[in-house]
Amino acid sequence: MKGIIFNIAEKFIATRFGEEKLEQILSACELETIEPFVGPGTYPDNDLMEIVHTAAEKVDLPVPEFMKQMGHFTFFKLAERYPNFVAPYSNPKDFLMTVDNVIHVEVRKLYRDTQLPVFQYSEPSENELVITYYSKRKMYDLMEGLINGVAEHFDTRIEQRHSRYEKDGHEFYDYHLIFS
Amino acid sequence: MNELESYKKKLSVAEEKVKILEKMIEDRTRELYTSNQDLQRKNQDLEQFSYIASHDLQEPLRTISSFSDLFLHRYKGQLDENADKYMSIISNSALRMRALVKNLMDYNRIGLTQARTEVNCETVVREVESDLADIIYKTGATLDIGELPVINGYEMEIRLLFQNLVSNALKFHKSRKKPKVEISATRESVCWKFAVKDNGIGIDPVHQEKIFLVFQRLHNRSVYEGTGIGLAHCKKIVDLHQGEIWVESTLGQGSTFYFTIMDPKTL
Ligand code: HEM
Repeated sequence: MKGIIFNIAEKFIATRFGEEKLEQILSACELETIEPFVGPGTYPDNDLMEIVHTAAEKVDLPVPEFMKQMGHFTFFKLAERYPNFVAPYSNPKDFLMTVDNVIHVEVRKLYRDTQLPVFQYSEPSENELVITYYSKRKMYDLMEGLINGVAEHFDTRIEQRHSRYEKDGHEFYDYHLIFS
Repeated sequence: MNELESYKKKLSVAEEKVKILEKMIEDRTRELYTSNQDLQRKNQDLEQFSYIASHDLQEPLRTISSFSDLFLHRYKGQLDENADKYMSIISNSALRMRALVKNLMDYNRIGLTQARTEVNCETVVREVESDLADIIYKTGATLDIGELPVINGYEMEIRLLFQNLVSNALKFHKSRKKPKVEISATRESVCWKFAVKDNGIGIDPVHQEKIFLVFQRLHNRSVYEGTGIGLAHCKKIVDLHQGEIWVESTLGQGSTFYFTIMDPKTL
């Protein structure tokens, strides 16, 4: 996972629970990485999981809830850092439809060794969008939180209905979004 | 004290991050340098390839041309009317294709030359004038070359640029009028603005934007020769010099092609 996500995770913990908590959490973690995380670096996914699990325990939140909150925070940090990806859109649906084939494509040009999720879109109706998510990392809760961040950014409500299923031995996750 | 400790710690983490980032930048720069060299090599290969390909194409094309001409010469009127017509179509097409292949070659070469140098535009235009002596003589044209500056640019490209614009100006003249071409330059804030003005047939406003596209052909080819790629060259050359190219024209009253060339010294 790219360092930028680690940095955002650290920022999330520091902002929400305090610098000291972050210190505590990081020293309690058993990380493969010794040096500090930098944005363009690539670090083991397990290190992120270790941070998330340790942090969730220390702040007394279930891991999925922690991930969702972190996803929400993450969207705002990404949008802050890359305003050009977000600014052109006035509604969340148009924006979300660019994540896979514009934003993450650009991300791939900015960073090397990325491993981005794959999205498949379908539009059952004007105010609906189904994003089928596929990633070996299965970061379903982070994704849910990111979408919540998008909703708040555009100052709208997005109702999410989820379904997890398997096809040809691969696990997929549908985010059925209803905009209002 | 505790706070001081924490600041110190933060500072040392920040320093460590800077070191890591610097190393990443170095590595990346080295990679970019290597891939840039790779690209340059590939470009050279490509240039060589198109050179060879075009030479290989030119040869059979020349054969088609000369044998179809020979055929026309010998057998004209001996077969039926269609045969004559078909053969002259073949001959004309082969000629056009030769011109196209040549132009494509030139197009590929733009931008692959060495470095920018000081280019004396007046000298360049005088040389272009002598290259075009034949057509100037045949059409009875006059070239009015104003005072032109020394600019910083790619000499071969600049020459091609003037050559294209001047020969276009000579080509698209009114049937019974002698072409008159004026070449001048004026200084703008950060660039030179050149003008190549003719008294030719002019360009319909609907075409004025399209004419810089590759292969866009402006005039009916039966009346005016030319493959239309010339102006696309010009645009590419001007782009290479961070400039703009445009045309102002009134149908029937001549055209003025303007282009600007950035002067890096003023930037
Ligand atoms: C400004 C907008 C965005 C930027 C710059 C951005 C950039 C990134 C980056 C750098 C990563 C890490 C990739 C890696 O470590 O290899 C990532 C991962 C991810 N992004 Fe985005 N992203 C943006 C918006 C979104 C949005 C709106 C969503 C959801 C709808 C999303 C979903 C995800 C998910 C779920 C991951 C985790 C990786 C995985 O699931 O395998 N991103 N993104």
